[in-house]
Amino acid sequence: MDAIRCEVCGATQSLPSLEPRRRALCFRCKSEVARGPTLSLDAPLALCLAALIFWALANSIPFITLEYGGIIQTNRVFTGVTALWMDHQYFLSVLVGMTSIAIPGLQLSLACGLMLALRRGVSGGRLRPLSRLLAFIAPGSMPGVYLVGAFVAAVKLSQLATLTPGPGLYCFGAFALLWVIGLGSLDLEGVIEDFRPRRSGR
Amino acid sequence: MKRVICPRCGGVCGVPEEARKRLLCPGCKAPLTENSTPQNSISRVWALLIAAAILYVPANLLPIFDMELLGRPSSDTILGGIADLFGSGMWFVGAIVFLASIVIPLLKILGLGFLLISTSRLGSVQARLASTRLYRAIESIGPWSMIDVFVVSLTISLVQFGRLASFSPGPGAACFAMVVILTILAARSFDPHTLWAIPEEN
Ligand SMILES: [Zn+2]
Ligand SMILES: [Zn+2]
Repeated sequence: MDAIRCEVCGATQSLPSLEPRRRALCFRCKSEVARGPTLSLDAPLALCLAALIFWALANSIPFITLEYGGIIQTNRVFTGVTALWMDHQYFLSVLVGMTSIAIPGLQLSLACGLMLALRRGVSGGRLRPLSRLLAFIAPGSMPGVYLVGAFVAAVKLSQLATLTPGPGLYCFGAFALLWVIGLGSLDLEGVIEDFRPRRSGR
Repeated sequence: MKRVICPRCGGVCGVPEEARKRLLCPGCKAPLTENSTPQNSISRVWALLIAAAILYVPANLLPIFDMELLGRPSSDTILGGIADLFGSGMWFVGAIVFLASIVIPLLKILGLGFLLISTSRLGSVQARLASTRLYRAIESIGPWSMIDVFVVSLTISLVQFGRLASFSPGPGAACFAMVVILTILAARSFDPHTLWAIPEEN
């Protein structure tokens, strides 16, 4: 039994030791107060690495191609950011660039680095600044929202011109999906507290 | 003197303005940490929320798009764009944009305002549970109102037809983006602890 204080309502309560993958809810306010220990980081690490690969691909190959009266225009994910910048919309340009590309990429790289370090046996306490930084930037990461935005823009523009999805769009979709699965269920702040790498040869 | 609510017993303790290090509750001897000063966070949330509510007006009245199609200039507000989508039979996409751009920001502003007003009057456990759930919902829907900002960036990056057509973001786009950022910051600044800080009536 462990005594723990709920961060939301402040109620102190004792918890039985949790099985892996189980969550405990506060008896008073029903917020999550604890999670079972993480035994292996293999699956989230693989998902985050795969998401990072698709992130890089999505940024470097054509996203959507538009055809209008013989003019063919291809854009990449980054074209929106540069177009806004050229239009002197610096605030919007930085905002779009950060939330759709930069922060998700930084978030995935940090998470991968952190998990690799934990597997190497670096103690959780030394990684705490990293996990705090991750929690701080997390709300600025919106790849799923960007994908829906691309869908809405494509539907609107299809009245005007012919649109063809490029391979970058599929890569971006794969990246957004893996991002959700890989990071969504991962509680890195909890993981660095209780993850113990298995010693080799045991 | 400053009023601080003890995180453990809920008792109200007087604390000198400067000394905030390792003060103990006179009742139960629990440490009074920085996050047990809800008064601070509440006024910050109010400030962010009022700023968001003020910007919500130009965000909806000013055009988010300035367009020029075949030499004819026109502009489009958020509501105008939604009306266009409904008018051309795209109900599904119209509904997505309506939800993301009109309903969600409004829900966040009204919902957080309601939480701020009601936090000192919450009595029963049920009311607090409902408020905690409302807070969690407000926090998680936040990013979805970014859809229109992404639509603007994708549209201007795809439509650069030289003299045939040109799109550029209108002043409403930046206002709208600010509303999204301010409501996300307000939701993050709100400390759900305040919903539980006052001891419940039985
Ligand atoms: Zn609780
Ligand atoms: Zn106390």
